[in-house]
Amino acid sequence: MISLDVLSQAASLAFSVQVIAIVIAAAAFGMFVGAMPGLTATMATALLVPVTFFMDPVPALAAIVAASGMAIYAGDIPGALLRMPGTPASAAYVEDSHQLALKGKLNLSLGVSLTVSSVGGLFGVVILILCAPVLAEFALNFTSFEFFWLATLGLSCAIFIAARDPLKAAVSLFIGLALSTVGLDPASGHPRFTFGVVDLLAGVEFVPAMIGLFAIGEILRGAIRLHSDPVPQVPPTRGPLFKGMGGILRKYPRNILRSSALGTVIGALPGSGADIAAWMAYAVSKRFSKTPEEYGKGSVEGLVDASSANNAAVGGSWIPALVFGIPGDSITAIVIGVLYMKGMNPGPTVFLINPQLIYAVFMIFILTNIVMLPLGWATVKVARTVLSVPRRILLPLVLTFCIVGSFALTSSSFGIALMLVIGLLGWVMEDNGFPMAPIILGLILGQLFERTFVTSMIKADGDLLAFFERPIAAGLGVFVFLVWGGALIGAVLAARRRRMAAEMDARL
Amino acid sequence: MQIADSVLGAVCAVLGAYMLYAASGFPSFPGQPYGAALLPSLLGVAFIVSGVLLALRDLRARRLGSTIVLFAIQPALKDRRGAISGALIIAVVLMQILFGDLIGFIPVSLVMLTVILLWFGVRVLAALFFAALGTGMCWWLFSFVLKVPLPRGILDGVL
Repeated sequence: MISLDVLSQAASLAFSVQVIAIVIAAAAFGMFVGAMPGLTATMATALLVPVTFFMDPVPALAAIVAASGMAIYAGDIPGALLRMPGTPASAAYVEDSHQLALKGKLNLSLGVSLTVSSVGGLFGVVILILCAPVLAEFALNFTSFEFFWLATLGLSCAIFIAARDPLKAAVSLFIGLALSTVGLDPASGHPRFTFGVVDLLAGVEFVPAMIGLFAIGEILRGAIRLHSDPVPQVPPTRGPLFKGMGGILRKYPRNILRSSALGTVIGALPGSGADIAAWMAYAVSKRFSKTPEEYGKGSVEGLVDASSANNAAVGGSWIPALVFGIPGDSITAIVIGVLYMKGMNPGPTVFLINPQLIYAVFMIFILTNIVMLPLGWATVKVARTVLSVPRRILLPLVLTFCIVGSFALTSSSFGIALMLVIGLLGWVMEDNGFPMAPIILGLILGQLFERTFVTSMIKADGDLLAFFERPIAAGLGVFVFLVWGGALIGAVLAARRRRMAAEMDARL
Repeated sequence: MQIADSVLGAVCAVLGAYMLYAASGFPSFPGQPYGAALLPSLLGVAFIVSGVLLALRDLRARRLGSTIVLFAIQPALKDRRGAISGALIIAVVLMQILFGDLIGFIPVSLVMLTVILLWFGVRVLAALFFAALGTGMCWWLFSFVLKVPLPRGILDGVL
């Protein structure tokens, strides 16, 4: 059990003036980036990292927690106003929130998503606070064998659970893994794929890589379309936002509970984050609804479900990230990178060595989800001004920030070059249907995957069966094989269905 | 830029072959069959297999009667203004890589931001204002608050 001493230390870390100021600034930043269509929650987090690099661990993590949570909600605002989801996590229910707005219920739409986002977010955090320490205690017995399977599971989930096109997701993942092999090999210290570039000996620096993947591609796309896309007309936002919210909460308690739980679990699964949580909660909601015909035409129920799920996923995705060092989604992949940079190596021991830091982060999580209500209200009120910030001014400014951020991590223009190369690669890949998240998962998990395998093999003297000798390792291993088996059977069945459909077409 | 799966598959396969070739020169851990070459070799095979699978998609699609376009440029990029906007974004980054150390972050950023803002259709005074604002904010945050040694270049004696 956690001692009062640790809790009071955590509280003094979390509730200092500096940290609160950073939380509010980062939350406002997250609201802004999330509300701008084309700038995603992941991008908000990626842009923050170079700044957090120079902070103490608690303010650094506080900034990320605040910005990512706010950005996920703020994505709902342009969804309702312009039918353009501000972040992918808001895409599932954009039709409903926009249709509600068209029917003159804009305040209802935005109020519902804000209120249930906060409730869902708090639910995810409570589960995180309850589960993470227990899991960590259990995971203290883990050795390299168990961590190898966890890394494998994380990599497998990135392909099979999250992706619409598993083959392309796999290629993305392989590229991430290939990038993780650049530099000195973790076991023998042999340089690999450095092409004589000294800067590459330390490996592919993950912050410039991430800024490239999540920001440069979007900026390029935005710039290319700048002259052809029409300027959106933003309707005004007036009137009370929280009117009737008590009634909504009383009407759909089961929906909120179900979707928050679902969102937390999906968030906790490696490789799937808030966007998938929203899609699945929406689908489940439609399946069990008494009025499924309203979905897509302005269903408050669908909005309640999906909007609470995506914020619950934010807390859920921190569970595997903190306990095992396995990212739940691309945002926590960034968090893991930040934890390593701060010397707080994620894993069960972080709960033993630095419990006050972890509990301070938990407190900030709760604080953020409460602050979300007034800040979200304020963002809705100024949404018209925010959304009218011309992209032709915003894009060059964000680009400058990316350049400086990438420079900051390497203190040389090598960081900028890395950002550009990986950014261009990501831009071409994303245009061709390759997802970005598996690349960053591969880059982060690659070293863990390789190191735990080689360490295990040295311990077991090359005996592969050793991966199944410890009970937990064996259980995890079997589970990994089940994931692979299930995915393969699914692929074979899908191929057979496609072939039969094609034959039917040919016969007709 | 839309590239056909068969072309992407070929790129994957070539990458895989290169990784296998490079990995064959990596030493193994003493007394162990596994070492520095293991993951790159596995990835090499994985790239080749997924490359073949990607290429097969195109073959199958062609057999079913669809035509495969090897390269296609999206409409926004075909528009001359769209293409120049994209190229300018890359140019801004390249200029900072090539001349940032020599001339300094501030002058390069001021010039490039003004150029790109003007091209995006911002009026001259506003472009100058936002270029100065963006450069100033980044300099203040990173150099002043976070103590990142942004290159001073020609302004070395002034700042």
